[in-house]
Amino acid sequence: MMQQIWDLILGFLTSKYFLQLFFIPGIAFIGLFTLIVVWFERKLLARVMLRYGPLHVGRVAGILQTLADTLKLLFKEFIPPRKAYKLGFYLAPVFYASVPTLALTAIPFSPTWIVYPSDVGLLIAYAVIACTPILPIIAGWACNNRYTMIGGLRIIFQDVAGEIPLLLSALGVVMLSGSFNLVNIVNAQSRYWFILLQPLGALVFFISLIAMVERVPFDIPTAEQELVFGWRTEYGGILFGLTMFGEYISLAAGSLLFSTLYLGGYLGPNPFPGFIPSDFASMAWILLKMAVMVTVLIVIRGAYPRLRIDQLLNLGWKWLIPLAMINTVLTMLMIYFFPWVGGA
Amino acid sequence: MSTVKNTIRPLVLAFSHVFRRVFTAKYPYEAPSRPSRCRGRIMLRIERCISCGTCEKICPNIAIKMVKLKGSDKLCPQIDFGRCMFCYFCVSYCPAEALIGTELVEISVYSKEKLIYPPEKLAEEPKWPDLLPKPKRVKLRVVGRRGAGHVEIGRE
Repeated sequence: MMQQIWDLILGFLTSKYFLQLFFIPGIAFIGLFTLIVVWFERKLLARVMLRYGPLHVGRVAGILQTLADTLKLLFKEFIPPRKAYKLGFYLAPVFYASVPTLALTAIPFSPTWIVYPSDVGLLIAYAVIACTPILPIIAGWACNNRYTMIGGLRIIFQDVAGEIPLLLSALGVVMLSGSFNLVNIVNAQSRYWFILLQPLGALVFFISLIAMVERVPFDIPTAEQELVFGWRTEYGGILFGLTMFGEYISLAAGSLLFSTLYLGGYLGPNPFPGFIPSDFASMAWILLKMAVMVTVLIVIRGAYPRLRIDQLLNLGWKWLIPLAMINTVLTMLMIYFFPWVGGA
Repeated sequence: MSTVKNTIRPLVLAFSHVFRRVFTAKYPYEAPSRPSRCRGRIMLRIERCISCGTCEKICPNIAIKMVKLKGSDKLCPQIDFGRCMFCYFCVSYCPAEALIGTELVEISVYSKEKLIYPPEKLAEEPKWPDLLPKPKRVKLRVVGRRGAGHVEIGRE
């Protein structure tokens, strides 16, 4: 009897569902990613600005700075403003941190390692990305503060300008691979990565992705110098920590999605096929590609100033959407004249 | 075309900065050399002082008071650095050049009373505070293609 229970527990602990929930892409991955990337961002941004960045906490290059900051945020008090809509005020950051993690369920980390294998995985990821901006709008309204309200309204503009080109630019990928299934999309890139076949689409997707995850130079809803801290102004303590957490999870999801669509996802050579399981090698490759994407996004943060809201709308409506449509037409022509390029 | 160029240039510059020398000095572990006109703690040369009291009259913040030296009747200035704004009027007006400026700015203490420097204390050579670790003396230099940075010029 005891042996059976023990086997059951052991079976559960080594089962795929448990590993996916607690390791990749589950709790451990998300937590470690946030801790490391926040430190890495501060360090790399400092190097771009010829500074040192975090230096003292944790002895080696300030590696424990993020942990110290998180602990500080945990013990701080958060004060809801008078006449705030309490339910929205408390729940918006919680959902803002948890909803982007759902996008990770659609991303394939290896041919078999997906939390939710689906024939419309790309659409699931897009649906989750489309859900995220609603929460800042609720938060901005619930805080009963002008700065947060303006920040929330700006998110609506940014969302409309960024999401349509994001959808349109990925159409080329779908046409080339002939599928919405992310595994099929990755497998279609076994000969060429789609960034080589679709440089224009990749560029449009990349720019609108930055707008969707609200990174500099498109951090218009937060806009530290104009709007205090945008829709996050009234949040303190761990609620503020959760909003930052959500932002970095969006960053992870966005980078993973870009790697999957354009950089060949989990594809990559396994150096020791008998020694390393192929699942591990696939995960290592997609995480490596994600790391490269995150690095590029951070350096972009150091390089460019923030756009005004009208400049973003101009970019989105007058440049990105037409370019995405041109990309679609080019892909159609490519498939018509050279049918062998696609994986379909 | 210039738009594309202007978009790519900052990105290349930002990437190149990652491999350049860090500009910051690790103060207080490294103490960068100060410019020659830096206004630090004022020092008194007692043997030169003629007790004229010009510094006391000229001080806009009433930080200077003439007090008697210990064991003699000679009047010398006592400076309250809690009030001093480092305008250096006293240094420039001193007819005997008894008051001179130094480069030391690390004079913070835990109580206001300790900032009142009687003439004997004012006459001491400025010295790095014991609370801080012994610093490396560094100097800003342009080092080849890796940019400007702080270079050590020997331990103090």
